[in-house]
This record gives sequence, C-alpha cells and structure tokens, in this order.
Amino acid sequence: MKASPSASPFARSRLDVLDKGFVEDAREVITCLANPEPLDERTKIRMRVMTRELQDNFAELAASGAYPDFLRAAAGPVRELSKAILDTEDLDSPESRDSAALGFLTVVQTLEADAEGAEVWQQDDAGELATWVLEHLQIKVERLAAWLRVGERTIQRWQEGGTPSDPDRLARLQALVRLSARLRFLYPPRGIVQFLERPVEAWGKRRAVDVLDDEERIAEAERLIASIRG
Amino acid sequence: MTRRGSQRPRGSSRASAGSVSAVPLGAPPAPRGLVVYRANAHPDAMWSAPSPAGRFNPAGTGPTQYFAEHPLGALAERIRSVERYLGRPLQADDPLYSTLTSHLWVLKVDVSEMFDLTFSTARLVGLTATQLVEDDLGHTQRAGEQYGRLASSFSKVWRYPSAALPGTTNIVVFGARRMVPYDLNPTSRLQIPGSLAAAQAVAPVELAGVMRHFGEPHAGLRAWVSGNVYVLPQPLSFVV
Repeated sequence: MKASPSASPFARSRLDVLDKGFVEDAREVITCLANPEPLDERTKIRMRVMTRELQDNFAELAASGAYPDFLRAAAGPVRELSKAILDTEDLDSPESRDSAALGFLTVVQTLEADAEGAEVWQQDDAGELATWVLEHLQIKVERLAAWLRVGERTIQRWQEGGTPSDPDRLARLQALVRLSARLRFLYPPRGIVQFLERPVEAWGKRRAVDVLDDEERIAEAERLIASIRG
Repeated sequence: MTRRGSQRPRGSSRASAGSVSAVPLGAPPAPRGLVVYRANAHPDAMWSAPSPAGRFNPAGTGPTQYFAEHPLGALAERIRSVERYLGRPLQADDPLYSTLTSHLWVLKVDVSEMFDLTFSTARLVGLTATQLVEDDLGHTQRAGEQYGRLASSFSKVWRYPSAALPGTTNIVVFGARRMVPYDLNPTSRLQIPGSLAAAQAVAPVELAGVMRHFGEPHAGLRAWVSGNVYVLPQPLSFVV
C-alpha cells in the first residue's frame, strides 16, 4: 500500500483496508480531470477499475462489520462516486467530469480525515505511542512523564514492551497522540508543545495536557484544531 | 482609520474589479472572477467532503469554502482561530503566532451572482450587524445553514465583512468546489481556477498590529455605527 502523506506512520486506519494506493491514484485522476484535454481511453478505464475496486473493497469491509463509524462516513461518498463513474456513459462531458472529480475528491478527503481520526489512535502499544510523542514533539521523557502523571521509569518500561497497569494512563497517552498528530499539520514541534501547554480560558485556564482524561474536552480541542486547519 | 461618507455602492458592479480585461491578441481569454486568497493546512484548496466548522457552517454539515479578498485576510483569520481556542489574543512574538504554518492559495471566484452581506444587509439573513462579526459563531452558522445551504433560491456565494481584518471582506461559497488550473476558464460553477502560492508560510509580524484580535471590538462595525467607513491601515513594508 502506498501511504498517504498525512497518514500516521503506524496508523491502523481504514486506508490499510481500502486504500490499495487509491488516494494517490485518485489525485492523479483529479489532476487529469482539471485539465481541459479530453480524457484518453486508458484514463477512463482506469477510473472505472479504481471505482469498481473501491466499491468491492468497501462492500467487503461493510460485510465484516468492522469500523462502523468509518462505514457511516464513507458510504455516501463511495455511492456517489460509483454513480458518477460506473453509471455514466460519457465520462468526458463537462457535467460528468465535474461529478467524477468531486466524487474522487470527496472519497479522498473522507479517507484522509479517517486516517487522522480518533479510532486510529486507539491502539494499545503504549511504548510505540510514547516513542512517537518523544520523537515528533522532540521532548524529553521527563516532560512526557509529567504530562501523563507517571514516573520516567514507567515510560521507559512501556518502551521496553511493558503495558500500562492502569488503563487511564493509556487513555491519556492516546489522547495526547490524537491531538499532537493533528497539530503537526499546523506547527513545528516547538509550537505543538506550546499549544498543548497553553492555558485555555474556556477550561478555567487548564491546558490541553491537563484534560487528557476528559474525552469531551479532547473532542472539543480536536474540532477546534480542525477549524484552525481550515 | 475611518473615512466619512465615502461608502461606495457594493455588489455586482465591484465584482468585475478582479477580472482581467486586457488580453493580448490571439491569447485565450483570461478566467473571469475575483482574485481571492485562502490559507489552510490541507493538500487541497477546497472541500468536497464536509468541512470543519467556519463562520457560516457548523462542523460536518457540508462542504463550505472560505476565501479572503485581502492578501492578509486569510492569515488573519487563521491566527484568530487559534485565539478562539485559547480565548485570548496572541502577540506577534508568541510561537503560536510566529510558527503557525499555512498553505496560501490564490483563486478566482465567480461573483456574478453574489449576495453582498454587509452590516446594512445582515437583517436579510436574520442577523444583526453585531452578530456578523462577533466572537461567537452560533448566529452566523445558523444563518449560513438556513440561507446559504438550505434555501435553494438564495445565492450560494456571499461576501461578508472579515471579523479578523476589519475594513476588508471575505467570500464564502456554499457547496463542493474543485480547483482547476489558474489560467483556465471554468466551464461550470463547480470549478474555481486557482494555484498554491506558498507552502508552509507564516503570518508577517506586521499583521498582528492591524488585525482584530479575539475579544477586541470590531473597528469596521464601530465605524459603521457612526456612519463612517473603516479603512484598514495596511502595512507597506515588512520585516523579512
């Protein structure tokens, strides 16, 4: 699978199941459709094959019952794309080109949003998560330990393969990764740390790292970060 | 900076201001449209999937596109959105200001059927002049959903006062759009010519001195209440 540039290096996302290079291929097709030249037969066949494969993979995923949130979000876009590509005779008419381009773009944006979504970070390898934070935020173990309210030795144990005895500690670490993963599209490591440690007026001057065990606040922060991304 | 009695007529007459009229003989006609700017942190300029919350849309309700008419406007809006999270203003030397990176896009939007939402016309979409630029987005989001997205007969392209850069205006387009090459004439309303102008750009220091920070009164609104027009004191030289 070709990894999306925005996907996490260890994301177990629906991209793993559905993508098969779809995002990159779709972006190439979108570029073809943005240019005024008529589509060649090869491109038209490619568009139909990509759509059919996506449809089949999606149906397979739906049958498995896994990832219900993703299935809900992606069902409409996959259906619209199928209609725009597989139910259309003349893919080169101006209307068809618009429908096809927007259909591919919607699926791509839905897949990419999912790759950054909350479920992706619900993996339970605390050592891998902690290492990711230390590397991407360029902070010392001491700082991470303070954010998570654990000892430095605890984090080292996780990195050596140990598992958190308290599930709340893992949940806090997952929440930290969720926010940091989104913030890296906005800020370099220093800015991410500043953002996480800055008091928020609406939370009674508590910082993001103070509310890692508050799912409501973390979801609110995620929405605000999404708005800042634009 | 305010100017008394100099308010010019707004609307379709100004829409041609961004059009290119001088075309060399033999060259294809240049794309119509008003030149606008967008700053984001995505690989695409515009949304086809449901977009995050903005001034006229709650999160996830449908694709909505936001543009600024002033080159500083798009970055001002982004800085202000960080301030909205914090609930307080940022100084230019704050890392949350100085290291916020943006992709900067330049696009040409067709504004031939645009609704000019001003302090004077806000009531047409159920808003007061104050609500148009207030920190709380609830009222404008409801107006956007009711008139921009659900009312089929209402214009899908609105010009409105920038809350972040008083004296300038922004454009919101309701619905999915796709970018086509900057020099291409769009063949449908779903296409917007554009190009990426800068990647990983940061806001100039000087912007902090002229933008409206979170919690501050809106100079454009204050001027309008007094019967004046606020003119942005635009910086002309920049620290590089």
